[in-house]
Amino acid sequence: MRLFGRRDRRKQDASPAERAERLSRWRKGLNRTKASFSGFLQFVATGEAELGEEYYSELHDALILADIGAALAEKTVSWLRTTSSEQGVSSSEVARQLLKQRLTEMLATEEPKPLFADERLNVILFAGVNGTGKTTMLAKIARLLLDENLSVVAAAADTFRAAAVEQLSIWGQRVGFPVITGAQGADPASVVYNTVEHALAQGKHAVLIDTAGRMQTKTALMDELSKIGRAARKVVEKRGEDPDEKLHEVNLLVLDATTGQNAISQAKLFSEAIALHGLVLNKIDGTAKGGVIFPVVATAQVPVMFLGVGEDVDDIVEFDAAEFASALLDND
Amino acid sequence: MPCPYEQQPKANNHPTSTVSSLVESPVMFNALSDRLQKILGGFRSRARLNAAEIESGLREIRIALLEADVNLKVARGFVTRLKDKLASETVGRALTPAQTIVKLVHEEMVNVLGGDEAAQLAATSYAGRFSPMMLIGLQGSGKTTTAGKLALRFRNEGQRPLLVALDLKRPAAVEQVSIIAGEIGVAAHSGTATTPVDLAREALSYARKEGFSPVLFDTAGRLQIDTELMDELTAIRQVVEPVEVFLVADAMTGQEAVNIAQAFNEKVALTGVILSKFDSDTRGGAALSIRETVGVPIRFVGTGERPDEIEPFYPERWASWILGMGDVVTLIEKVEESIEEKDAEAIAHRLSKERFTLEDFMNVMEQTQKMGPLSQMLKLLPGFKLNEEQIALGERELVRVKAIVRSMTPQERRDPRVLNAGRRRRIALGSGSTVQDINLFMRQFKEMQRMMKHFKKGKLPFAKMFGMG
Ligand SMILES: Nc1nc2c(ncn2[C@@H]2O[C@H](COP(=O)(O)OP(=O)(O)OP(=O)(O)O)[C@@H](O)[C@H]2O)c(=O)[nH]1
Ligand SMILES: Nc1nc2c(ncn2[C@@H]2O[C@H](COP(=O)(O)OP(=O)(O)OP(=O)(O)O)[C@@H](O)[C@H]2O)c(=O)[nH]1
Ligand SMILES: [Mg+2]
Ligand SMILES: [Mg+2]
Repeated sequence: MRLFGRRDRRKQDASPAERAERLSRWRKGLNRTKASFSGFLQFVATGEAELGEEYYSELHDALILADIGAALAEKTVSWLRTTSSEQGVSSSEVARQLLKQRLTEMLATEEPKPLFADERLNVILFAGVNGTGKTTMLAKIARLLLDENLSVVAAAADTFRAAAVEQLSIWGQRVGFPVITGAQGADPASVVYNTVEHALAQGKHAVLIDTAGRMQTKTALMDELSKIGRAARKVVEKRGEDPDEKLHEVNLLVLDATTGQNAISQAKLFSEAIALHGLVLNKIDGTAKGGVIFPVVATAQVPVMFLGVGEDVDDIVEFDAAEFASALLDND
Repeated sequence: MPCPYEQQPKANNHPTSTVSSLVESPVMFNALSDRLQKILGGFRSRARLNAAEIESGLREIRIALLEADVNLKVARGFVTRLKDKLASETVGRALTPAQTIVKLVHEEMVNVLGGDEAAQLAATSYAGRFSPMMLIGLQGSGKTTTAGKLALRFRNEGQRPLLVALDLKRPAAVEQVSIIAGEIGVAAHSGTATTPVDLAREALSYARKEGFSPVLFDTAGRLQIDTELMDELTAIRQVVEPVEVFLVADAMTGQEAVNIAQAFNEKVALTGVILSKFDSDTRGGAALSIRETVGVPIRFVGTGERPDEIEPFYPERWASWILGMGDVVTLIEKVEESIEEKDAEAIAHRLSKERFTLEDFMNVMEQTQKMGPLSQMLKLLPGFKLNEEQIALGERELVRVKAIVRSMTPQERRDPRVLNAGRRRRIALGSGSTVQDINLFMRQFKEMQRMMKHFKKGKLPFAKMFGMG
């Protein structure tokens, strides 16, 4: 994946070990899931099962228990059934590969917008419902950028929740980025405005915007989010420059892997409020499999960019569709 | 005539379009109420049901339960029990077969959700006894916010709650507790100990000495599979000897809700569950899953971020909500709560004499607006799937209707029969509306008056008054 454009490739080449390490941490999380889950995943994973009614019905249940949703589970199973019979597949191992391929395709949308672009002010916004891990993910991504020797400033645009600003400021101290704050209850868009002005004046590479958690059904809060999303462009326009040339904007919807079917509504309504460029699936280190991401990707039509795999600043994995599908289905 | 080429499948199918074709539309994830209403509504209009119809109905119910995030096993068990009950229920009594299903689904829901224990639990009083309580759960589930909400409740009941932050892990978690405490005007303990267990011990003796109770211990979020941190909870529990251990879970939780609740219960022995974030558009199937598998009662639901946004959980209402019967009980209660007694009496008095006037109408409207925004109330009504735009429209409509009534003379309000064409024109002018608007409103009002007759003294038929019931 080329989240950093040219930079990323360099980094990946430099540290395959590091990448493998992160991946294994995530796998470990998913494997804990498997251990507690004696049904289908092992069943399919060992490839010993017979490809019959029992297999399909176990598959169906497993997909539902992974939160993929009743309708999509049914469709996926009937797709596998049809495809297997069309291709004369009788081995469950081959069926598993077909399924893996299918699941990968569902998540492999277009190439994600790079997280970072040279010669621009990069503005990365973190949005989502309450408590999904937006602020923590901001700190993690700040760390990634700082590791690339890029300068970062954060906008504390959650002026609502108690100690939200303090939380972000502590992350700033720990990870090493400045935080621009406003008063409690201040207009969050104005905090963003100030931060972008500051970043342009100081020649920073990236502005990371921490927004307050909000329920997607609350129109006033969603309007507020739209306004926050426009603030950076306003600053640039006011300077008489073209925001499309000056800015590189990435709006991320941050989801909690524990969430069930409501994530679909979140994807739908958040993408109505702001242009979404990517998804983040947090707390995948828990037992929830985050299967709702499949219908969510179909709804939002944007790729998953990162997984959150813990509470520490380096608990982040760049998303890879094939890896995700394989972690769900493979037995290593 | 459409171009024939357009109807051919695109050769180079992009993966995204494959997915889109799998997921017909987000709308297919219908709310449980819609689904059940569709199926059961269909049943209702017929005289009897054959086995196949029952089977497909049950299947729909199962799917609807799954889409509401009820755990697969719980949903299966639910449907199986329903089937058994249905089989043993003899048709041909007072109810039609369809009504029988509705009744049984509702009964079974209420049953699983804990029956009528809710009322007793809601009345639980901690006054007069030292009452430590713990709030535990996954990361970000709403523990700290909920601790503040409970503290506010207890304070409003005249007690002296103490908030204790045992989360030394999340950045600014202690700060969060003290800010919340300041906002709601309750005390927060700030200790010197460096581990959660020591801190709990310290706070406990402080609370005893200073006469604080209940003592609310806010713990750090943790995964139920994190053995070390789960052991820490056990240790805290031993020190604190709580009268309540609340699992705070997100109402939007999916299939894992059962495993999460089970693990916390096994390790720390829960006394209750609080479902936060019920103000989302979730159906909250987690409530059913957790109650069924863990057997621990759901005690409260969180309905917003603010400290007063918490309510006791009433299974009866929740079951109605799932079934698309709307939460009429809550609504009526809210109306009754907010309408001042003497006004209510006056209205009830007139109602009993079958004379509901426009003055009463205005009165009710004014009282109604005290209850909160229309959008909140419409959510409580059955069969109402309004979007924000429609609600905004409704709100404007109310403003307009009020303007109309305000432009009337007291005599006209008492006896609308005097409204001739001339008077209607005057009112239209005065209220910035048209004569047609006034005619329409007067027709609606007449209908309202007619319905009023059907209601007993003291009960306000709120929903019907707006032609919604
Ligand atoms: N296990 C786990 N916990 C996480 C992860 N990401 C965040 N958390 C925890 O989840 C909790 C909420 O995280 P925040 O970053 O404050 O979430 P938020 O979305 O900013 O919350 P609000 O601003 O209140 O809406 C904290 O306790 C985090 O430590 C993750 O990937 N895994
Ligand atoms: N809309 C809504 N938001 C809620 C509700 N309860 C809590 N929240 C929000 O959810 C987010 C997380 O709440 P916290 O109270 O910090 O959660 P926590 O469980 O203490 O989190 P950790 O300590 O990090 O594990 C915050 O943004 C809260 O404002 C609720 O009932 N409705
Ligand atoms: Mg935050
Ligand atoms: Mg907390």
